[in-house]
Amino acid sequence: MPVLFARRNLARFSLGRVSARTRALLSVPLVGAGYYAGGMVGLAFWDPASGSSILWPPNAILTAALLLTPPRTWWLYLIACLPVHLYLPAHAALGDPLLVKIAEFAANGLQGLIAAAALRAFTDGSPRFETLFHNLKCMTAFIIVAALAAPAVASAVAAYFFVVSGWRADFWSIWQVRFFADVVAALTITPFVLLVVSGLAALRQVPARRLAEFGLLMAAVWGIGILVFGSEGRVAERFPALLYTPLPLLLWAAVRFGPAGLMPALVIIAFVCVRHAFDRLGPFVSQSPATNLLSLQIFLIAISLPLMLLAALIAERRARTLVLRESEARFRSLADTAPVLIWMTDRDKRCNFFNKGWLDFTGRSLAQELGDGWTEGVHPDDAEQCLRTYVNAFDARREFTMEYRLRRHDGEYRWVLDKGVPRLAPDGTFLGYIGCADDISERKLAEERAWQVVEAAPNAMLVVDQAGKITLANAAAETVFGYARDELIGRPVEMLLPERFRVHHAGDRERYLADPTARAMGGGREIFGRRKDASEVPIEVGLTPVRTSEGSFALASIIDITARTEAELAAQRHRAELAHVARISTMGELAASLAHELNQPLTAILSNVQTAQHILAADPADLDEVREILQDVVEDDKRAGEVIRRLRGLVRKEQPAFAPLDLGSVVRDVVLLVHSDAVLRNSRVTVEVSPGLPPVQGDRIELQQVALNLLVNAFDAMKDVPAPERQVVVRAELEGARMVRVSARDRGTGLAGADLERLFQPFYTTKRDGLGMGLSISRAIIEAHGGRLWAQNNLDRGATFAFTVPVAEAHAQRPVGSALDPAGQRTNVQ
Amino acid sequence: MSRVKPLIAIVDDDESVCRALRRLVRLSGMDAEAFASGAELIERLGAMPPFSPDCVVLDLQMPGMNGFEVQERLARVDRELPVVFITAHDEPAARERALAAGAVAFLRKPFDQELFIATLRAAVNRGASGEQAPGPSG
Repeated sequence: MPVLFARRNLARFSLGRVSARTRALLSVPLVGAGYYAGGMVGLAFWDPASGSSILWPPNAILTAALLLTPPRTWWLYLIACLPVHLYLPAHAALGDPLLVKIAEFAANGLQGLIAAAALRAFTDGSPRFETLFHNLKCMTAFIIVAALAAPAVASAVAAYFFVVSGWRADFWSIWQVRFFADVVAALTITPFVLLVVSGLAALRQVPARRLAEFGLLMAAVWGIGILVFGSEGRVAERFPALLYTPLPLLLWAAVRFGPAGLMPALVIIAFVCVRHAFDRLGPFVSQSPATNLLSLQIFLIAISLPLMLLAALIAERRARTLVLRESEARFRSLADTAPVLIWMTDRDKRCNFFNKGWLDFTGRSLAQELGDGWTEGVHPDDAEQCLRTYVNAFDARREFTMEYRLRRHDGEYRWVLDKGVPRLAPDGTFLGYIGCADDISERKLAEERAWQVVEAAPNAMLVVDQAGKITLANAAAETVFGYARDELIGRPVEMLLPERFRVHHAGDRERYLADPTARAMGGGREIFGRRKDASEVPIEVGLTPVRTSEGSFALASIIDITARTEAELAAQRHRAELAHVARISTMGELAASLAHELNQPLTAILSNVQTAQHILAADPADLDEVREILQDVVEDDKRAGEVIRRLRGLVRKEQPAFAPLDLGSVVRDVVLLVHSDAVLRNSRVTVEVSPGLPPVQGDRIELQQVALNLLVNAFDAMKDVPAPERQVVVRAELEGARMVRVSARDRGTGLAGADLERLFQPFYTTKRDGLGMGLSISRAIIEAHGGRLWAQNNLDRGATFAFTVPVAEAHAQRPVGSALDPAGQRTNVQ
Repeated sequence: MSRVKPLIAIVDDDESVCRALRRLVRLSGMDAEAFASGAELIERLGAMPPFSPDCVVLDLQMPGMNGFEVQERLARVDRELPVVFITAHDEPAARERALAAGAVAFLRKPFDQELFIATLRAAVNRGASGEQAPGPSG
């Protein structure tokens, strides 16, 4: 008691408050002290008649010490206990020879070593109270190894030595007394020491009520023990059933508190029993001392063994239940905090669990939803499909996914995506299903909206997969191509292209998917689609890559540009008409000078012909003179014809036709056309055409019109300039490598800065009776040719108007206008 | 000073007109010389051997010096030299100006050859008699 108490205190002091190394060093003398104390207890209960003690604590304490410490330190403890053993006062008083004492200690040490080594191996190196005694298998191992086998072996070794050394004669009697004393100590003392050393920290977490209950129970055990084992021997003989009275309390300790409650109770009973037996009290006093001793020992062993096993079993069960409960609690907490709807079924398809999420969503109670109650919340239109999917999957033990509408707490039906998987036990038994559903209404709405947008788009929209198959087509696609939607889905997209494009398109498609970007299709070329009726439609296509979990797709946005094309053509015709009107107008301006141009040859012709008539009337007629005259007449007629030709060219009204032409000749023609006008205005015109000018691609009439416009404007610009200074230089030369430039440089007053661009606006004119269309039309013409028209002031005086036209080769690819047929339909220009 | 054949100077920038008119004048029994520009005539007037036409036929629209300018220059040299204008343009203002400046006639191209010859003869006679009255115009 005082010793035990002191030791417990010391043990608590040594736990966790100091470093491990210090702890290790302190424990050696501690174990030595414990060995000594145990020895004193054992000697206190020494029975000289039988030559043995009822129980021998030192071995149990040593065993406990070796269990709690690493093997490499065991020699320290053995070394520490040897002198203690040798000099235990009793031993000295008993007069045992040194060799005998050493042999005894060797046997004691052997018992501890066997038990510690075997149990250490059994528990993978951590033989603590929880690992040894809360587990049936380990408890059994402890009982068999530490409490039975090790004492048996140690006792046999000691007995053998005693017999062989001649110190004792009877092997079995020595073995028996040692064995039972060691077993009783091993069953009661060793677990108790382990409990104290490794289990006390846990006491802090035990609620006070439980501690109080435990305290009361121990007190009761003590009380009963005193009652049963402290009574006179005759009472026990008269009421043998009294021996069993501690059992309910011990059972209660085992069941209620497990091994940690049982061990102290066993120690108390053992102590009470032994103490009173030593005082010749209790039921174990009626026989011979040896028999009494054995009976007592067997009694203690007999009540300890089954109770310890029971306690271990209960502890194991309890632990398993705890784990299960914890797992259950963890699952439940997870299920209830997850933002999804979770459900579980048992084996017969009926639901046995819904998480908080589900119940909150539906606004119903668990009782309402369990079994088949949940089906009441499924939308009537979806119920059949939903149940069918569920039942089929269930029967096939397959995963399933389904979408259906589930009624929410506010009555609104929401789309949910429900996935269920089969649940299996560790051994593969089918337990039911577990599943989880998520509200996808927003997603479905977004999908619906996105689809509505695509569907309502004025452009035809197609989604094409990597294999070139159409996977999606909107209503506009049906209109543009003339196919019904189901005639498009799943078909190759090439079917919407004219034959001549199909070959290249497959390759283009692959190249696009290799490097997908949002871009226009066709690379600037005109592209056409093919309708169901095999007619072609001019289109513009924009491509956008779309990447989804199902792969890469291309979204094609297609615009039927027939209307636009026709509008462009109409605009072109309009421009041509306007240009024609402008030409007529110019012609009107030039009328006087054109008349003059014609008049000159006509005058000469009239005069010549009349002269010829005179000559022929004479006798003889000078026929040579007449021939000369006629030759002149022919030349003059041709000259007049040229003027007419130029004039006719000016007023022609055909659509522009592009062809390679020599700008130099155009310029010269124009200069001839305005010759009379130049004279009329007292202006001189100088023409400079670079030799070897390359041909340009253009319409002769239109370019002539522009040059004429510039020249007439140049004359107008100089009308306030003194006559001798009126000069226009017209140049045709190469600009860079790809353009030919025609410029008209006057010596007028120049242009105000703001006018430099305003001049080209329609209806802007500085002439009193001008239309103001000339320059804007000229610019439109030049731009349609792919060139540029501009004005700039000269450094010295006057202004220069110039235009550029691309050289014929550069312009070969895009003959705008040449692809038109009179009906205005575009034909393919590939 | 009068001579057997009157000498007509024809000034027109159009070569074929000059040639045709010269031919016509010669056929009519007069002499004719053609000049492509007023400057040529002025130069010839000032050069040797002396050149003294009895009448000058002037085209109105000519590059460089137009008909009016030539007339002014001639008037400085010989106020009595008759001038007949020929032109393809028919502007009343031009006609008024021409006649006010003392032109004998203002003929519109193309003109009838008889009218032309008659005009020339009248002009020559006037010049010979020193009259300044305007002659027929057509």
